[in-house]
Amino acid sequence: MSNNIIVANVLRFIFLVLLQGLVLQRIPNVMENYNQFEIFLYPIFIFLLPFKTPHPLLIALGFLIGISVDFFYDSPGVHASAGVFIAYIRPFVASILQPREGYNNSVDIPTVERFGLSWFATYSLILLFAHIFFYYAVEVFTFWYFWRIILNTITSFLISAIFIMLFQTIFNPKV
Amino acid sequence: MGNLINLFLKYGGFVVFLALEGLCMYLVVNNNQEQEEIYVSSARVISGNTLQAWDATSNFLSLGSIADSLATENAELYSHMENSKFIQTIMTDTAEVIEQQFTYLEAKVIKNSTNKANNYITLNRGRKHGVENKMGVFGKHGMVGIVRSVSTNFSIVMPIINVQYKASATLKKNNYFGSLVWDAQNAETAKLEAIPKHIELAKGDSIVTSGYSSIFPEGIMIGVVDDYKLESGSNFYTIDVKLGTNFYDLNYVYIIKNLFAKELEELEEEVTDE
Repeated sequence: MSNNIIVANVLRFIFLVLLQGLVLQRIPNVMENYNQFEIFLYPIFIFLLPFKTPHPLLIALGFLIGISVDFFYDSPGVHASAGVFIAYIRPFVASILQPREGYNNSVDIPTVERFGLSWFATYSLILLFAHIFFYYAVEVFTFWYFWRIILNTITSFLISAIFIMLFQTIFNPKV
Repeated sequence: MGNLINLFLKYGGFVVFLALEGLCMYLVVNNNQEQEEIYVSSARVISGNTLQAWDATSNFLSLGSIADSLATENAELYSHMENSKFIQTIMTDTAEVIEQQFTYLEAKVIKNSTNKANNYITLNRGRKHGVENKMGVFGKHGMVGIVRSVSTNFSIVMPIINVQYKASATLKKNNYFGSLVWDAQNAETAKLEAIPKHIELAKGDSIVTSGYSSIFPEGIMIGVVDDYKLESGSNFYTIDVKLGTNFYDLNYVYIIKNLFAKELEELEEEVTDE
């Protein structure tokens, strides 16, 4: 059982990094007119890690997938810092959304399968927004470009949310 | 010992968070400084090759008709143009002596971004082909940027559309020069600053390279005046420049080699040394 979870997550990690680095990265660049956005799909890897993942490991995995994506974006540390940030706040977001009967931390995995679509949508969209906002803030490393940060966060969030939900619908991950 | 590990797994999150964020910030800041792209230069060999292979595939599907030979020929033609020559004529001499000052090397864009604050362009030419740091790069519609770092087979260009880019540019009609910066709004416009208010401006005025640096020959197109305004109390115009280069559609560019760069550099060093 536990092995299944590890294999599933390793495969998901590889698949998401390649999809993000080779395909999604290029989409904004081939658009001609308004292309000031990025598509963020890889954060779903962090959303889907089981609740029993120890917090330090969760953060380390957030860093690992972020830095792997940075590799393709030539932006060392930018995606990684956003990954670390949402991995850090994930337990707090989850505890806010705790269902009445609570979580069973030793077996529960944050999926639609287990908690339903509206729970998963709220949970993942909060984290996604935090991720994208953090990404744009770190990217320019100053609040000088305030409007760029706000506008790009909103555009990227709306587009990425569609991709996250599409990924969920197509693969409907259970582990 | 077991207790310690348990304690760490339970409460170590914040420590790990701070440590890794610190590392990320270090990488980000380090990358924003000149010539300190340690991470990128090691990653480039691998990602450069992957991207080139990927690009070859996508080119085959969409742009099969672009001929490399045309670009080579163009590079050759550019070097015959007048602004590439250094005129050696001395007043008393009757024979005009013209020497080659700039030569051009064609390069293909294998990676390009337009939607970040720090955009970079990767070219398939490197040290092996004679590319050096701080060489200028332009395309068929105008200036592109400056080579920021070079590996054996690839080089990375910092384009105008990077918030760290700064260059001098002149108004073609009267040779007044200002500094060109990008405001991260979109990849089509940049800002020209420090043009004094007594100058007469019109929409559509050409903005070209100044030729004061050893990087670009004089008069390479940068863009045209799209809009301009004078803030009250300011002595300088804020000018929106519509860039000539279409960064969304960049295939072939030309790298500029200044054959006198070394001589100029040595001369300038001599002055600053004193």
